[in-house]
Amino acid sequence: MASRPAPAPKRPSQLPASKPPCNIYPSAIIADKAQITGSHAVEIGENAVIHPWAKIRAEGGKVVIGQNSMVYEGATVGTVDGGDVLIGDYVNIETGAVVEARSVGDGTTVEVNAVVGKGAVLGKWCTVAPLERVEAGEELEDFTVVYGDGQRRVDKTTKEHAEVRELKKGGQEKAVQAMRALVPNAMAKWAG
Amino acid sequence: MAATFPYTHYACPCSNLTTPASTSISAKRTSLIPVDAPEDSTFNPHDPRANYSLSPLDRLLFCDECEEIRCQRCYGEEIIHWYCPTCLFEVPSSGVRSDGNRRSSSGEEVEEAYILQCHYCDWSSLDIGVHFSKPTKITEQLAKQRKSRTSGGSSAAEAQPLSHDETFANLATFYKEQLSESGDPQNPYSNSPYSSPNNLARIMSLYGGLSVNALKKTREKPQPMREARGEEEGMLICSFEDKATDDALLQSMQNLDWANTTTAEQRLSAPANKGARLVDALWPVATRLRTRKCRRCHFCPQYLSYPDPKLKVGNLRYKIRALALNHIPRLSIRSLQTSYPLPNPAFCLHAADLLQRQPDIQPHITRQYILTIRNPILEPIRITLATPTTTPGRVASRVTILCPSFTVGPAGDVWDEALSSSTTSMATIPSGNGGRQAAMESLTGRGADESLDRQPEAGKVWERTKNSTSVVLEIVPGALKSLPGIVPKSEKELEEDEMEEGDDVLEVPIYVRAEWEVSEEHDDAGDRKGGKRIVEADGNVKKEMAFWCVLGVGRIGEGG
Ligand SMILES: [Zn+2]
Ligand SMILES: [Zn+2]
Ligand SMILES: [Zn+2]
Repeated sequence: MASRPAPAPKRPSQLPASKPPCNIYPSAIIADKAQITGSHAVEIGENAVIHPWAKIRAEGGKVVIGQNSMVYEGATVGTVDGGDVLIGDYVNIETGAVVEARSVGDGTTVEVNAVVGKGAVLGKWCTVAPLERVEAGEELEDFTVVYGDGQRRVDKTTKEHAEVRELKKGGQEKAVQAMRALVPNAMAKWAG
Repeated sequence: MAATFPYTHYACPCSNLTTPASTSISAKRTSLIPVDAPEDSTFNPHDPRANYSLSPLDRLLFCDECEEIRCQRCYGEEIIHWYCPTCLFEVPSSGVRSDGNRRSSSGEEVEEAYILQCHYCDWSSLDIGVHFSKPTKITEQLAKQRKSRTSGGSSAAEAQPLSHDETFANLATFYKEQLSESGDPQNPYSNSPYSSPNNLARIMSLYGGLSVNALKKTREKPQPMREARGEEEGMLICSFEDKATDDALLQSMQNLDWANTTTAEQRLSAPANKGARLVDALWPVATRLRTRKCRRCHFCPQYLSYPDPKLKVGNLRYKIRALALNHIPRLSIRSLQTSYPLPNPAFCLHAADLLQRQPDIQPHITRQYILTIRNPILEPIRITLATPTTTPGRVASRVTILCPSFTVGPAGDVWDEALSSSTTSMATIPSGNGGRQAAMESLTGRGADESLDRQPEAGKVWERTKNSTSVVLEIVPGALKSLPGIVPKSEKELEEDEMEEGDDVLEVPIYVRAEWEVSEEHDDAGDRKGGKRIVEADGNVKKEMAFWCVLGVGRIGEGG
């Protein structure tokens, strides 16, 4: 567009000074107000949705968001100095949650304002209830629920019923489709 | 009664705590007294049961059909509707058993089935193998499944003990039988000690080869109501015999961790969960519903309070609310001597102020109190007070009401009342004195000579406002210890002298009678009262009301 040199344009403040190398699947949605910072690689999978004001921080390592996963408003995924963060498929990182885990398994939900510390490993179909904590380096087996001030239980319903897991996946796909209509895509800003 | 002095507690007419008085009553009552009123008896505030029949005026209701005070014991509560405390959904009484609360069960379809799921901890009814065929009437569906499960279990293994539900049902049936067989049909709740012939017959046929005649004879003999005996009557015997079950439980507790055992709170959440030791055995319970209730007089069909049905749950407005304080004259007492102010507890800013012990009353020293009677109704009332000359109880104090009979003006507009609240002393109205003194009076609201030690006079009212009248009460507090006599006391006498808690509290029982007249058309209660009302020549209806109340004056000190 700008063929002749112009004085340095004023960048919107949320735009990082340096854009990390992003690999974004064409069907993913990245909101305009989402923030992706750092210098490590960022991969956003098929149908994933990064909501406005969500933060992906690739300063400390690469960040991978799996397919049909969502990162909600004000949530932070990634580390500043703590290594890679791999988020699986069908994962929800809810509003205000902070996830610095090494990996989060498929189908897991980190609820509102919950915190998952550096290097933690969350299995598949886990739930971290609102405001709960998973300490740095901690490992959660598949189907673990962290709730009620640090209590743990096994989500028998999901563990023992394949049809429930299928239903949950279907629900997530529908939610992702709904968000597609609601969140304007600014993927172009980050792609390439 | 633990209360801060001074206080006035009212006795509901339903309590019959009056005892024949050994002493005469200081004021002669002039006119008829209701049949239940004690002509020669007095209310004893030191009676152990007094605590249960006296209440502050604010806690009492009033039935305007019966024209009587109504306390907690003489009105019944009826449930108007049930509602869920979480979502405020109103459940009609007919649906309480089937619907429960309208639980936000976002039913997930599992082969056209629904499950209950907790969105917080991910527990679902699948964990205990429960799913529903439709998303409505969850409580009913749950109950059915529970029933089929528990009964199925016991039929499979004969030795299985009955569940708590079944035991409770058995016990309830047993008691119902006992009641219906022992009481007369008109009074199903009477505790009259009559036999339960059917049970008796059954037991007799079980244990004895008695002839029909002998059986008939025994039937006629009255038998007291008895308690449940066996399992089928609802008595569950706690046994330590069932070692196998206990061992299995202990074994599973060892295998699982602490989080898998139930908490006391969970076990007490519902009868179904009482025996649940492990989380897996817990049964889902619908949110407990709350109710809105109306209150109804026990002696007539009148509603004493009824919440406004149009308003949303949680709104505290009432459609009907018959408070006693709108119908009953309010009595209050304060010391005439300014040196001993009786503080109003309402003005205590710190809890410590309330705890601070008020100065004790000195025995044998005559003290004067101002007793104020405030009229809440729109007609002027005539008050007659009566009190025993000595207070009942261990410590006898002498009480004299200087002016036991007087009138109290009608209650008016609240604004009128506020504006006329400054008192004028009727007894000492200066006639034609005018000038400076009258000006002082209107400024200070007090007779100028009140500051000069005005002496209370017998038969004279102390002061009046538009709707209140004050009279003076003279009390000579008794001593806690009787004076040592010359003759040494017997052991029994000494024992009688022993003080008990509360004996040192100076409480004055007062019998209050109020009389007034209303024009016939304003007499709402008239129609049903039939013969009791007396219509005067001028078309007015005479009304009267009488009740006991107790003035808590203070604590008598050791003094002496
Ligand atoms: Zn009563
Ligand atoms: Zn739960
Ligand atoms: Zn009544």
